Amino acid sequence: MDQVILFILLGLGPGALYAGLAQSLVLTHRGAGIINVSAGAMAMWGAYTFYGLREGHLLLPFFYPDLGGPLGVAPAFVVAVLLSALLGALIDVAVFAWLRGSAPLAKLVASVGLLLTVQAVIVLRFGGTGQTAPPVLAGGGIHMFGGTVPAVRLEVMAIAVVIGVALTAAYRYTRFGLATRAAQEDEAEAVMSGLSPRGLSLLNTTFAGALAGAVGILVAPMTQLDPTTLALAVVPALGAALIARFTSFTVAALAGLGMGALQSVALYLQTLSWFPTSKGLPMPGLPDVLFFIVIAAALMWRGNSLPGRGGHIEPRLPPAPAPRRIARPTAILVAIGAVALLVLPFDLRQGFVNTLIAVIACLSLVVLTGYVGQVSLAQFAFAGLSGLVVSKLGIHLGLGLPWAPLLGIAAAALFGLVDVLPAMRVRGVHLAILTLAAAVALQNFGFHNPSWGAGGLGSPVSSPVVFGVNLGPSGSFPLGGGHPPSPLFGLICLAVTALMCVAVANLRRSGLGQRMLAVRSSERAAAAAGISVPGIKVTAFVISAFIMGVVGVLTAYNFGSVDPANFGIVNTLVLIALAYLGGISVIKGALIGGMLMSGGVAATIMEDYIGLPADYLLLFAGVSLVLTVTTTPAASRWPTAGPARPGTDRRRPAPTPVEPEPAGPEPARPRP
Amino acid sequence: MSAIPQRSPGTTRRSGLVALSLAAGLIGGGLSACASDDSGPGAGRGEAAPTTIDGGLGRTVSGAAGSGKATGAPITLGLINQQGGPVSNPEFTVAAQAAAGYLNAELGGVGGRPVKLEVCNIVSAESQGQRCGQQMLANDEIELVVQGGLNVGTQSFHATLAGKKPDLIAVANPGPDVSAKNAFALNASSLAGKAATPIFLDTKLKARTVAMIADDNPGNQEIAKSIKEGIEARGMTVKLTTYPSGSADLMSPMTAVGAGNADVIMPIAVTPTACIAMAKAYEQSGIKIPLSASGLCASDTVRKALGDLPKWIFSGSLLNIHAPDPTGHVAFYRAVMARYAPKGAELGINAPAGFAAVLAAAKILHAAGPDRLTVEKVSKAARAYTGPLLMGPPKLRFGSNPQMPALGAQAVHYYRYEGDGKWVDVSQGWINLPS
Repeated sequence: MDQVILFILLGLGPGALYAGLAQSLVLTHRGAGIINVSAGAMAMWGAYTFYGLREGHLLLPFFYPDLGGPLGVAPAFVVAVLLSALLGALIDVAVFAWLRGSAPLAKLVASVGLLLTVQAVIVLRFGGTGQTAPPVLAGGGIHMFGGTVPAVRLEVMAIAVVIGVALTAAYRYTRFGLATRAAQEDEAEAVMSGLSPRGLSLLNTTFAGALAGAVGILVAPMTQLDPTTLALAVVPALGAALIARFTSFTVAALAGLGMGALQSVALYLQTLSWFPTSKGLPMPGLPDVLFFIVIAAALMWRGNSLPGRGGHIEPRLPPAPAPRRIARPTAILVAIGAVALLVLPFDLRQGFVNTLIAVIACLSLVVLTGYVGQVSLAQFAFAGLSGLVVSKLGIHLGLGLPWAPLLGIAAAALFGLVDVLPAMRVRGVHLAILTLAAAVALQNFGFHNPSWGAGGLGSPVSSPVVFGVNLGPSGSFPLGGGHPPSPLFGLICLAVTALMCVAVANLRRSGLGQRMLAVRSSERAAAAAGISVPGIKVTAFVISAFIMGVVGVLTAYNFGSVDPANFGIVNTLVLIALAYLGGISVIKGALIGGMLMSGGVAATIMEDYIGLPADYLLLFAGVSLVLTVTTTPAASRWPTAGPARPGTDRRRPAPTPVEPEPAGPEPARPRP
Repeated sequence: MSAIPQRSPGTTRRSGLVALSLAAGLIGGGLSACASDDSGPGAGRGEAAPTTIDGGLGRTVSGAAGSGKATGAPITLGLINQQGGPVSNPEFTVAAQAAAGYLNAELGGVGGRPVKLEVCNIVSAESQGQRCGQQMLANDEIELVVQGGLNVGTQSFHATLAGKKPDLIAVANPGPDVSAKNAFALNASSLAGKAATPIFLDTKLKARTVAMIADDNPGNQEIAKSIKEGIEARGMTVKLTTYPSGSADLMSPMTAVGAGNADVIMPIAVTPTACIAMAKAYEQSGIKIPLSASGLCASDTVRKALGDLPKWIFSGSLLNIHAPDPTGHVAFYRAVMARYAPKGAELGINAPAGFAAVLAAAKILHAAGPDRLTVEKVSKAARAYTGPLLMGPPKLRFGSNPQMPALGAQAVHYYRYEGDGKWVDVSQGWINLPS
């Protein structure tokens, strides 16, 4: 028992990070009505700012001016926290303020754009290599429960709890806190009472930025300072915030600390002889699975009682017109693509192959988001699963074409079905959070697992061979200069992409597509018209996962291996950003998004011919997503997460105008 | 509440005299963590670079016969490195370029032709391994590829290169590096550890229980797995735990693995950040058990961050550049780097491997006949290469291990750092040299 207590205490360090981020999430949700998944990125910004100041530099986007010497710990901490607060204020003014009338899902997607933007700025300045963060708090080790607990753990825990209590008191007893609560509960009535929800949002987001930054600075010495660790710490923090219903600061603090303790105890349990291992190694990603379970349980448990600020808004997505002509443009584009594959130099040919695969990935979002209005943050997890099945079937059973790819795609579709089952109870923004947690868990627990995952250096995939002809990128082909990738593989990718485009276009024109649009337009109206809303959502998720399964198969053959890094959460976030930028509801948008994806034609030109690092693409994706969501008219037309809670919509008019019907030549005609 | 875990008397007996002396050496030392001053007590102490370059040694390891500046048509070497991502080894390329600079300026290049490096970096994605492979194949001037330590992109790189050009692997990792077609690994790195570490722990440290700590980076897990299997095969007990790769919190894994009760602690730390985190946790825990780490931790970056290197045992499949070296290899390396590398260049981590690999490549190209190089001739010469590899084991023999035919040797040298710039050769030479 002593050991368990010891590990609970040791887990207080990461727990304080989750607690602080959860409190920051609650602040932003209370003030701006946004589930800010960039909270971890804001913490990272604070930590890097502090690091820069201690090194004698000021961290600014694209600038890193020399301050003439390092700042002391205390002034550096104060300045870094102030700059983090400034970042929070900037985000509120430049992004959140423009989304006040938007549906929660649009706000969530905007915060995804912020996450990518902050991450890209950090990568461009510091690269992806981890740094050792300078410490703020001092203290040696305290011997207790048969081990040593660094005093810093207890200090950060105390700080997290004190902040939770202070925020609770402030929101209960101060005028500012009461005003924020009033605006959170009923914005319209708050306005009529003379309160300024916009001003309150600004203040709350500023505090959230300062809090996230401070937590990042204090905890970074316990984590590696890199562009990913702190940014993705938002996943367990979301779990803690969900337990706190995005309302209670003390519950958020305690739940965050609990998540840290859970992580630490899991580490301990894995060293016990009876605990299952994976080929003799502790199972990686176990804490991420636990976090996923906590989030799923919290959503199931509190799903209906979670505050759905903005959930009453039922505006629509950008138009999703049914394509009038399919055959001729497809033939023309295929012909152009085929010529390009034969004449392009090897690097652009590879970029074009990557683009074709990325187009298919974007198509999965056209179906899921463009047609049905749902968001999944696990898209590349489906692709990874498919690729892994292809690899394992080849290694263990010697299966190749056509069974391995077919089974891989089927596995992805099946996982899509399992992943969407919570949609029966969880909708919209909460479903997006769940898929985020699922993607992280699958990435770390599934793909990295030594037994069934991709192994340390990727799981090898043999080239597809039919009648002795190598169809893979290493196959020979009389044209194309003889250098890989083989134009034949490119032609196969081109054919598959064209097929998928035609299929998705036909889906839009079909009755199923019309029912999907009906659900997208208004779940209530669709349900009233006799459409099974959950059935449509499940169908869309499965189709989307199926399409990503195709992506997984092509990616596996493309690289000759399945590397977990290809199927990470950041890739999915970039995919969403670029698909949205291109046009999330039309096939043309998928073509544009595919061009811009990492490794695609645009990235190849940028990197190999212009000499710009590919990291600029991450920045472009993030900024574009934020701009697209905040500035286009469609920004205020994201579909609602679901039916408004009883008693909310009848009191408030929708703050943004709702168009009468989805644009496009063919209006949705739900079946009776 | 109890104090820090104490080792049982039986455990202490098992650890043997060597372990006791190591522990004694550690007592009272304590690491001066967090010092960030360049002029710290250990910074560069006693390690001023020699100014004289031993040209004879240079000619021996590079196969050069001439001297002076190379003037002919350049020979292009492909160079693949992992750089710019979470695991980044820029020092590998810097050192390789310094070696090429020396070769071209003082040894007449390869048969009078200067060596040019075409560098392709893998940052963090499998697609970049593929791109580098394609780049190497598309450039007809490249007859030989030199590969740094990769823990991402390896599969796609080898799948693309597919043995069509010889690949001289400067730092091999578990996975396709060991069995790739037409690949020749000069430095078995962790794979050397797999074979040699159990022998060292058993025969030199007399250890029976080993506490291993690795992050959950897939590449590091693979390394941990292979070393663990090797140790267990020799009858020792291993307790292994992993922690999230982005974490610098190693107190929890140290405690989880019962580091205080083991005979020796073995962290799989391959980045300066991980080494620094390990050193801080080691100090904070107050444990005095011997700690055997990779020589990658004996870097200037780690020394700068901690004020001095931690008083650990450092393993290396190349000679330790800080320790006394009667062969003169390290002095030669330091002298060339001082003259041809940028000021302040990292001399440790993967730099020695990059430096040595370019000189070995030169020897192979000399053997293949620099005037009419073909892929076939270079491949044949690479297969026949037996050394001597600068700072490496005295002899290499490719294909001696049928399971890992690409490896030339799996020998390791172990040194203990005692502070104040003092090093002890605890393995007393190479362990597990090829027969």
